[in-house]
Amino acid sequence: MPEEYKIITDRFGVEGLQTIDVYRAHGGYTAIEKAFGMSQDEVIDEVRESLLAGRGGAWFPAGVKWGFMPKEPREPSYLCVNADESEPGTFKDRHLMEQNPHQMLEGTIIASYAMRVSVAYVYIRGEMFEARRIVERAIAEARAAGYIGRDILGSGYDLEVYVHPGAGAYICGEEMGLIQSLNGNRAEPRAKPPFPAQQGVFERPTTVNNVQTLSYVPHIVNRGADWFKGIGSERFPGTFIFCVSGHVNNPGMFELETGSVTMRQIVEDFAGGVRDGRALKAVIPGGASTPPMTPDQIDIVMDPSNFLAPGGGDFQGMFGTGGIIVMDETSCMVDALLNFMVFFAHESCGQCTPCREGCPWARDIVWRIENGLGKPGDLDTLLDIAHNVGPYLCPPSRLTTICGFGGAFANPIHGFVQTFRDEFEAHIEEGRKPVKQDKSIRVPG
Amino acid sequence: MAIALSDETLKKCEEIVTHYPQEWRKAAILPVLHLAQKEWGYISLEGLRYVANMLDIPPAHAAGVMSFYPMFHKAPVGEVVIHVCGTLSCALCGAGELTKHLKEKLKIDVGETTGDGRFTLAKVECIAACEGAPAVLINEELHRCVTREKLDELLDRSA
Repeated sequence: MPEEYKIITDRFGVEGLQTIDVYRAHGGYTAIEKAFGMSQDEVIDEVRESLLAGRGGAWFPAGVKWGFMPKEPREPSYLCVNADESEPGTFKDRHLMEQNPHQMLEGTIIASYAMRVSVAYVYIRGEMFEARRIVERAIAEARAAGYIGRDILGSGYDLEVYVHPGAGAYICGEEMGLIQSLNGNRAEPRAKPPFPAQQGVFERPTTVNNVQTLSYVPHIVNRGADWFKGIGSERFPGTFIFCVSGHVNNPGMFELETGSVTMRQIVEDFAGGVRDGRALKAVIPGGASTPPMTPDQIDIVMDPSNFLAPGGGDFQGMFGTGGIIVMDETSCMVDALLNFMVFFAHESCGQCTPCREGCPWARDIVWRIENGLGKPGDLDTLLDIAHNVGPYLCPPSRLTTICGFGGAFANPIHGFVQTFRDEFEAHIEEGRKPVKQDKSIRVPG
Repeated sequence: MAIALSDETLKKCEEIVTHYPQEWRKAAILPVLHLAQKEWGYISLEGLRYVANMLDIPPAHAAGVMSFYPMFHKAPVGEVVIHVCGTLSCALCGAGELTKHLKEKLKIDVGETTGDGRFTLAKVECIAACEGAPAVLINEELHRCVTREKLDELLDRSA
């Protein structure tokens, strides 16, 4: 059985790791000293050469993104740490902040220096009270130690870091939604261009990076791009944190090399397999926006390059955020899709008609089917709604909405209805639920 | 009496405003609304106008922002707000039964507050604690792997 490869979760569980003293005792804040001994462009080059890609789900090369920022800023520019984790099934950023906040902060400071930004905002999801308290304390400690503030380590570089709390809107995890929210507006994403590096927070150059992406940065600076490139797959090197929940014996998160394990190994070996000896029915690979996989599809090696999105791979599916939700044979696929449609209808920002109208419409149709009131033609209507927002797994350029939310709610409709069409039709024809569900309270251990 | 914030909260607000460029005071609206809600329990129209004045923004803009975000209450809520996560991982592991238990115990529906003003029952979308499904947020505290018994205990403790 393959083993975990721990880079950013390595020190998890160390007593007091949230404090700067313990973090430093474990080698923390050495990367900052090394980075400040390099030129800003050397830091960007190192990250670019490491092929570190954005772990929020898009897998866009971080070093390339950083390179879009102005080299000689004539006005203040900004870094936003996207800590608005809210993709159903995903819980890694919460742990990265709560268990090792200084690691994320060190990465944030190094990234800020490389991009010459003057302020970094950590946009933390409003409901994450504990993470917010821990990160705020870490920022205060780092400021007292001279890693944040004026003339950091005698370099002449000034940086401020602040926490900005969200208030419970999923769309703030979208880059432009986050920027709008930070600007003090409704979090309605706007069309690109202009891109954030041209016009973002306060209409100035901005980069948005995910918590997990930034947590790798101190390690890459310390150990070099070649070290990082040697881990995991060739195209998307490094590790990735897979979060497993649902009907498994051992739910939790596992840091694994990209391209090193199959989905089956993650579910069976790491997460302990399906509970109660029941049969596996479906796996959501990476959050609510990703279409479900069936048991015969899970021998796929978990690397973004094997999935159509984002890697252009052979498998017609999405890699997503690592939020793996496992469902056993007692799960009803209509009920599962309904759960997601309720979610998306609640979270649509309401700006674009296909999404604002399509989400509740789809939710209501799935509700009728689940409750024995489905009609012939309902499935075609559902697929038509989804297709109107975006054809299955289409590139963003073919969406009819400003942001990717349209595709995010359309893909599970396509995926669930196509993969489990028989079950949906049985609901409609028989006016009842063919699956005997078990949704009783069950906690591990 | 006109609505106001305590000196202590006002001081915090003034500090928060310094996190943003001078001409972007409105950027402070979310953190300021959080502080105001902590003090007032909810944001009334009068309270909203007060915050809008503080940040030099039109009250209509402030109302638009506030109504966008689910965490702000427009009406009073209970002293103890119970948010049950209802998204798929928690739903698969018993969130529905937890909600049913709470509805029977508190004799209220989701979105309602008990007559004595003690408890409010609410649903929340995925709170990133799926490994500990079903998860429940009680005021600012997250609880994982919640059973009926554990819930009873938590409510007794906060009663």
